[in-house]
Amino acid sequence: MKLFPLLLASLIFVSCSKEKDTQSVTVYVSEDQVFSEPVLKAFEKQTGIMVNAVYDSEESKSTGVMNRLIAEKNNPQADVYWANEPIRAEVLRKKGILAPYESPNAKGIAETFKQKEHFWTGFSARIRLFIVNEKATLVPTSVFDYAQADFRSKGVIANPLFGTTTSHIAALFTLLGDAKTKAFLEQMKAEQVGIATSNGESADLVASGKYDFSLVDSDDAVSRLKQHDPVTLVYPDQKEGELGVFVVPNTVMLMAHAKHPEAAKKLIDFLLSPQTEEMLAFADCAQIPLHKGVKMPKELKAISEIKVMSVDYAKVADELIKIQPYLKSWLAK
Amino acid sequence: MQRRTFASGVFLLFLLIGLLPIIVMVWNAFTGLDMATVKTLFSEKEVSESFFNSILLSTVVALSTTFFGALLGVLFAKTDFTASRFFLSLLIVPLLIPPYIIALGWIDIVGVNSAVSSLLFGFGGTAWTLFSVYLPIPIVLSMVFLKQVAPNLEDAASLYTNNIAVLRSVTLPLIMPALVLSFLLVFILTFGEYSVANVLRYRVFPLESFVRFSAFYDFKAALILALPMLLVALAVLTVERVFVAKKLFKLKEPGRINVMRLQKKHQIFLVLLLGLVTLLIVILPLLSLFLRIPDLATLAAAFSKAWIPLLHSFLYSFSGAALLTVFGFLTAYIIAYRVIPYWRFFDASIVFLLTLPATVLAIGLILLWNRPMLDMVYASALVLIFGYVAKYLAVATKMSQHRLLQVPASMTEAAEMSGANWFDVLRYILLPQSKKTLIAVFAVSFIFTFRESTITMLVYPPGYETLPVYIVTQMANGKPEMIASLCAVMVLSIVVPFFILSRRRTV
Amino acid sequence: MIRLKKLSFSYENKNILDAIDLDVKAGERLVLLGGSGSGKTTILRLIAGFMAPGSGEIEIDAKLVSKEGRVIVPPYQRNVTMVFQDLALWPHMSVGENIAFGLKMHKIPAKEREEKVRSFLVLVGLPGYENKSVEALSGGEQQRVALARALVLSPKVVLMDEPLSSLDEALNQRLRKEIVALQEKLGFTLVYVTHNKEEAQEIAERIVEVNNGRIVERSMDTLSIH
Repeated sequence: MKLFPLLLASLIFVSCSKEKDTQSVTVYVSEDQVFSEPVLKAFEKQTGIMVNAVYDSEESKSTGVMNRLIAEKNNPQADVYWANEPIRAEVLRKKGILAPYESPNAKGIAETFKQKEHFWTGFSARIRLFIVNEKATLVPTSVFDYAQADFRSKGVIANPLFGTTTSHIAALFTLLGDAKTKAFLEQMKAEQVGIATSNGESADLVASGKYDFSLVDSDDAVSRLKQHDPVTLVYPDQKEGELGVFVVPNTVMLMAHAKHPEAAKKLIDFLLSPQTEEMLAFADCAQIPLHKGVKMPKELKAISEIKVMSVDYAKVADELIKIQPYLKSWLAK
Repeated sequence: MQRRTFASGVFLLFLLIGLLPIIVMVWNAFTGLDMATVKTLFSEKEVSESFFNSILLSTVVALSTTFFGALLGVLFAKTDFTASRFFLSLLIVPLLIPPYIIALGWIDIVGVNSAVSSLLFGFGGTAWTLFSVYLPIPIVLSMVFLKQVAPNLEDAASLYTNNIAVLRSVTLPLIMPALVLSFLLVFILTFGEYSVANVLRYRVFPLESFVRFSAFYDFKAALILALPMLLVALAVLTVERVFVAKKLFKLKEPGRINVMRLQKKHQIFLVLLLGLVTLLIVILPLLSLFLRIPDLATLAAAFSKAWIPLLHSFLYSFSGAALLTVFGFLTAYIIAYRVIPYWRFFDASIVFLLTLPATVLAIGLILLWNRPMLDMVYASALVLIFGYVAKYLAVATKMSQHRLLQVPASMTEAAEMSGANWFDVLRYILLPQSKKTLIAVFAVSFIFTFRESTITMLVYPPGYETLPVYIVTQMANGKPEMIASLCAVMVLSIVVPFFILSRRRTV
Repeated sequence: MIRLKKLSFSYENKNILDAIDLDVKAGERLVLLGGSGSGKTTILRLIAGFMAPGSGEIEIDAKLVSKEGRVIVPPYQRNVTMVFQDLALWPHMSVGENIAFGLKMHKIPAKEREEKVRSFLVLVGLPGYENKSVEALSGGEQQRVALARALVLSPKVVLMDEPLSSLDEALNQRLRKEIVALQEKLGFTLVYVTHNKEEAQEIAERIVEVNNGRIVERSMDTLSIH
C-alpha cells in the first residue's frame, strides 16, 4: 500500500507543525477576527513577535474560545485572552485562570473599566444604545421607555439570556436592586416587547420597520447606518438624574502560567495603547476609545461627552448567573 | 504476531483515540453530580422542545432524502438516461462543502426581511437546506448497491412482469439495506449538524447543548444533554441489526447490470425536471452567493488571505483521511471477521462516536490530551486528526466492512490452504480486493474532514486554522463580499480537484 | 493418512454430522457422495481446518489436528490443499500469481517459483498462461488453474469440493480423467466430494455415501446397479 509512507509522513509533519520559539505569543480572541486581526498584525510588524491566534466565531461567541480556555486550565496554551466584554474576564478570574498584570499603558483608562487587582483591563468600548427607525413617531430617550404605555409593542430586544443584553440587565439589577428591576421587566413584558434572537436581528427588525426601536450594541447600530438603512441612533438616559449608557469595553488579560509571559505583556501593552484604540475606532466596529485625546471618526461621541453608567463589572458577573432562572421564567411568560 | 493480539492492539488504539476522551469527560462531569440537576435540565422547556425539533428535522430530512435519493439512484444507475453523469456531478456539490455555505446562499436570495423570510428562517429553510446537502448520500449508496444486483435475479422476474414491477418487487427489496443505511446515516448527520440551524435560527438539540457550553461554561450540563444521543446511537444500532445485518443479501461484485431503455420524450422530460431540481437546490444558492463577488480582485484578495488556512485544511484532511482509511479497514476486518470477542462493543462504540455531538468530543479531547508531557499531541494538529478519526471512523469502517463481507469465504480459505497466515490473507487477498472501496473511503473521509469545523474550532493549534474555521470566524461582521469570495475559494478548492480525480479514475 | 473419530458438527441447533468415523489411506482416491445438505462439504471443511468439530477428533498423518471445538493445527500447516466449488481464484491476481501465491507464502525464492508455476501450467495443459487474467479464462481453463494452484505445493492431501459441477458434460468427463491421471502421477491423497454417481465411480477407488450426517460405505458394484 503506497498510502502508508505518505500517511506516516503527513502525521509526522502534522505533529511538528507548531513552532516552539520564545519569539511568539499565543492569544485567544473573542473580538471579531475582521477587527482584531489587523491589530495583531500591526503588533507583529512593530515588535517582530509572531502572534498565534485562535479566533471565536459568531455562532459560538464565547463558546469556542472560552470553553477552550477553561478546558485547558491545567496546561494553558494561551498567553493572552482578548475578550470583547468584561463579564467573561470575571468568570475566568474567578476560576483562577488569570494572572494579574498592571500595564503602564493602562494609566490613562478610567478605573471603572479596570479590575482592581489588575487581572484584566478594559479598552475600546461598545456602548448600548437605541437604534430607532426614522419613521417612528415617538423616540425613546430612556431604557425605561420599554415599560411605558406609549411605546406599547413598538420596542424589540435581543434574547436576554445571551450576550450583552444579559449583562445590561444584570447591570440594572446591581444598580436598582431586585424589586425595582423585576418590576421594570414585568412592565416591559406587559407592554408587549418583542424578543429577537440576537442584537443583529433586532437591529434588522428596526431597520425594516417591523419595530420602532431596539436597544443594541453600538457596532450593530453603526453598521446599519453605514448600509444606509433608515435609522438613527439615540444615547439613552443622558439627562440629569438618569443612569447613563451601559458601556461594554474590550478586555485583555494575562493567563496564569503563560508560556511566553514577556511577549504576552508586550502584547497587552500594545492592545492598551492609544494606537490600538485609534485603529478600532476607525474600523467598521467603530469602538469608542477609553484613552483621552485619541483620534476618532466624527459620527462617534468621545467617552468624555457621554454620561456613562457607573457599574462594578465583578458584581454584574455575579448577578448575571443569579438572575438566569428569573430571566428564563420571564421569557417563558 | 497472533491475530487476536493484533486486533486487540487496534482496539486499544481506538480506545485511546476515540473512547478515552469521552471516558475522561464523563468522569469529569459526573463526579459530584446529583439527580436533581439532571431532572431540572431535562424538564426545561427549551431542552425538550429542541429535542423534539431535532427528531422531527432529522426524520423529515432522512426520509425525504432517502426517498428522492433512491429514485434518482435508479434513474442514474438503472436507465440509459444520457445526462446521468452531468446531474450527478452537480447534485453532489452541496455535500462537498460546509453546509452553512448553502444556508448563506439562501439568506442571500431570500433576504433577512423579505416577505418570505419567515419561510426560510426556521424549520422549512433548515430542512430544505439539509435536504440538498445530504441528498447525494442515498443517491450514491443506492447506485452502488444497484450495480451489484445480479442481472439474472431480475431476468427471472422479468419473465413474469414488466420493468417497473421488477424494479419494485425484486431490485428495490434487494437494495433495502442501502436505503436503511442511508436513512440512518442522514439521520445521524442531520441530528449532529447545527451550523445550518444556527444560521437559519431554528432551535435544534445540539445547539441547545452548545448554548449550555457557551452561556454557562457548564461542561456538566452539556454532557448530560449529550446523554439522549446515547439513545439515538442505540436506536440506530438496533435498526442496523434488524434491517441491515439480517437482510444483507449476498450481492455480486459490480459488473454487468440490466439497464432500462428510456424513450426520447422521457429523456427530454427528465432532463428538464432534473434541470429544475438542480437549479433549485444547488445552482441558485451558490450562484447568488457568488454573484456577491464584485470582481476578480476581491476573489484574488480572498485567496491571498485564504491560501494558508487552505493549506492547513488540505494537510489535516489528507492525514485524517489516510488514517481513517487504514484504521477503518482494520476495524472493519475485526468486526466483519469477529476477531475479538467484544467486536459488538467495538461496533457500537464507533457508531456512538458518530452520533455524539462534536463539541462534547472536542472538549473530551482537550481534557485528555492537554497535559504538559503530551504537548506533542495537543500542541500539534495530531489531536485534531484524532478527533476526525474518532468522529468519522464509523463511516470509514462501514464502507470497508460492506466490501469485506462480499469477498467469498472460499477466497480467503484458498489462501489459508496455500500457507497464508491471517496477515498474509489480509495483505494479499482482502486488501487488494478492497482497493477500489478504499479509494472511495479515502475520498469520503477527505470530504467529511475537509468540511468539519466544530472539532477543528476547539482544538486546532493556535495560528493554524483551517479554511472552514477561517470562514466561520470571518462571518462575525466580515464584509459579505469577502465571505462570499472565501466560500468560492472553499467550493473551488474541493470541487475542482474532486472532479479532476473522479474523471481520471473513470477514464 | 486422515482419520476422523466420532466426529460431530452442528450449526444453529441442527445436527450436520453425527458421530462419523472415517479412515482415508495414504494415496487413496476417496469420493464422498451425497445430495445437497447431506454434510459432505462440512466433512471437507473440517478436514481443511476452516471449522472446529463440535465433538470428536481429526488426525492427519497420525497427528491430532482438531479436537472438540478446537482447531489445533491451522489450515496452512496441515499440508492439505483444496479446490473449491466456486474455484475462488483471486480476481486481482494473474494466473501465475494465483498459482505462485502458496509458494510465496512458503518463502520459496522467486526463480524457483517461476519454474514451478511454469511446469505446473504445463502439467494441467495451460502452458504460457502465466500473465493472463483469471477473469479472461474459460470455465475449463479456470478449473485447471485452480487445480494447478492446489497441486503446486505438493500437498499430501488434496480436497476437492464439487470442482467440476459448473462445467458442461464433455469437459466434465475429460477433466475427471485428467484428475485421476494427475493423482496417479503425483500420488497425493484425494478426498473428492460430488453428488454425481457416475463422476464418483470414475474418480473413486473407494466411495463413501454421506446421508443426513451419517456415512455408509458403498462397494463400487452396488453403486453401479442403481
